[in-house]
Amino acid sequence: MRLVRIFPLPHLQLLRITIPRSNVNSYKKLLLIQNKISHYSTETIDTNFTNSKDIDSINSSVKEFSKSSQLLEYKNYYQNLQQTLRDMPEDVCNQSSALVTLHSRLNLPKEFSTSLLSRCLTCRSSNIPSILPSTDTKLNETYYSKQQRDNYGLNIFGKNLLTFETVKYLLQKYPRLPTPVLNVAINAYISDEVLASIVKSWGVETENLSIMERFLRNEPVNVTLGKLRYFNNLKKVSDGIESISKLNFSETAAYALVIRSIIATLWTFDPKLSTKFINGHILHGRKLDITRLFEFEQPTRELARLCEREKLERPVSRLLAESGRLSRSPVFIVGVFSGEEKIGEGFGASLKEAKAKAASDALMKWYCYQPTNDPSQSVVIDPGTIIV
Amino acid sequence: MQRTVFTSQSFKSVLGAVNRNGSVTACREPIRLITYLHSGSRVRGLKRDPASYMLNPYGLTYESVNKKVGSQASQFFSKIRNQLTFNKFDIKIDDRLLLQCFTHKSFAHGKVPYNEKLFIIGSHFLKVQASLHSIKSTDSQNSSGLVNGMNFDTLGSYESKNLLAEPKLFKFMESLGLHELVFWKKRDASGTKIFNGEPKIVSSVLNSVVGAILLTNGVEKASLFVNNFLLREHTE
Repeated sequence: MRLVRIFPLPHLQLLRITIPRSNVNSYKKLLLIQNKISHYSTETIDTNFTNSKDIDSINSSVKEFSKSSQLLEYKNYYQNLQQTLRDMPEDVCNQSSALVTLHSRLNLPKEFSTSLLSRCLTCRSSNIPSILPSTDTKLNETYYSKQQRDNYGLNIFGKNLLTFETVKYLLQKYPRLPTPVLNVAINAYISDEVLASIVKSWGVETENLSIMERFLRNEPVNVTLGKLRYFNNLKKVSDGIESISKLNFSETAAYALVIRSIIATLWTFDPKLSTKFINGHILHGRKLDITRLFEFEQPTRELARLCEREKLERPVSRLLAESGRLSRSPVFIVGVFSGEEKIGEGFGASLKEAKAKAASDALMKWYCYQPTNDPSQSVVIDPGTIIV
Repeated sequence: MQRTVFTSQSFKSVLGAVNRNGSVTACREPIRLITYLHSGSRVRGLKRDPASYMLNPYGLTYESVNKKVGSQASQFFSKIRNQLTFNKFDIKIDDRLLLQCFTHKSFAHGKVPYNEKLFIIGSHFLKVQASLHSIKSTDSQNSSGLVNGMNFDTLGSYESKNLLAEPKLFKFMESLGLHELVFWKKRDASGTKIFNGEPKIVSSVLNSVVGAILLTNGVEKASLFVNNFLLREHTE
């Protein structure tokens, strides 16, 4: 079921901007037909056309118009678009400048055809419905082709690969990260927003024009193939008709789908290529300060339990230095020791604060431990976060 | 109303362990003098006897397994190794790590090493392997959408999602009799399996075994183990 919200429209103003005056009438008619095609009841259309005086005259002109050549042209354009999007022929994709540019910008291998790249840009939600031919125009049925090549499966596989690689990278680097911190760190690398910003930086654009507008501009189909398609563009957004469906199209999520599907496609040629791509575009060269993700609630207790579990001597805090104890802004420096060894140090305006900071420091050094790159060092396996 | 609580620290200061130079900070080093270990119903402030909680819901004690020698310990590890056919894949995992894989976070309040991190890496590895399995095992009904000969349309289907899902892995572990060897704590001792989340805990053990294989034996052996053992056993 589709819900349609209708707003009173300043139609003529809108038309004045976009359409030459001579074409206003034919544009109105086309809109009407487009709405018929995209399955709106006549009531919806009528309320849209508050400016038109006589509904009957429009209906008659529609009948007249439906025989005209322009409608046929539109139909052809629509079907051609649908066919091209379904099959994504190589020769048409190669004509798309956006696809070719993106291909070379990402330095993709030759086997990765532009047709596959265009598939990565096609979300399942962009599937354009076909209209089953019927004698009664009101009973026209829409159906969605299941043959559509989209990035649905590619995205799932790409997501699995990407998450695994990220987790592996982070756990190799910081084997003892507590799980909540690890999850935040993973998100910092591969959340939808981050991935979307990467794809946007490649210059990928979304397809925002309705099919009717593309037809009126006489836009070649290959332009559409080079853009990210995530909704079916049957209606023009600026028409003021906002469709609310249970499919929640999000531009950010759609952008993220692109990078994940490119990763999956690269993997089919060679797993090394996808790893290199992930490292190059997502993991390496982006700095994440892991220490800022921590927040200890009871650092001293946690440190005491850690020492107990690791069979270290019980931690003792000692005042190392102080200044201005009786002044307005005293500073204390406290070190926390396990036996002879100092495991952390902190400063603060009170003894308590300094002690807590010292314990936090010691915990941070434990959790953010990084193994050496030396292959002779055996794998560090985390015994688990301390439960206070 | 003022309450007086005798903690171990106050014991120390009562005993008058004052530093030579008379500073108070050095005096705060606590020493536990409690020797009584309580078992039975919980009493606030009393230390519990480890023997009362260091055992799993099936009555297996952690200490009996954690020992380096002992018939129960060797039985425990050889059962796991045999049932998971480690020899067939030439997988070598030492006892300590294997015990860590079989210990859940809920056990003994995290006092002993547990499998959380191994589970994370193992589960993500399993997800990749499961999706690979469904991509490759294609009955090419829809050959138009193949990407380099692989059918990605099978992903996201019910079968593909549930290939290595939690209930399946739990059943598998149950059939091998390994669920009784897992160290965990029930959230409610009288509750049902589902309420206590046994399927999730037991399946996480299998995930973490995969994680441990991956970290110590490498990707090749881990993927062989998953494809030729876990996925094959399921499809049969």
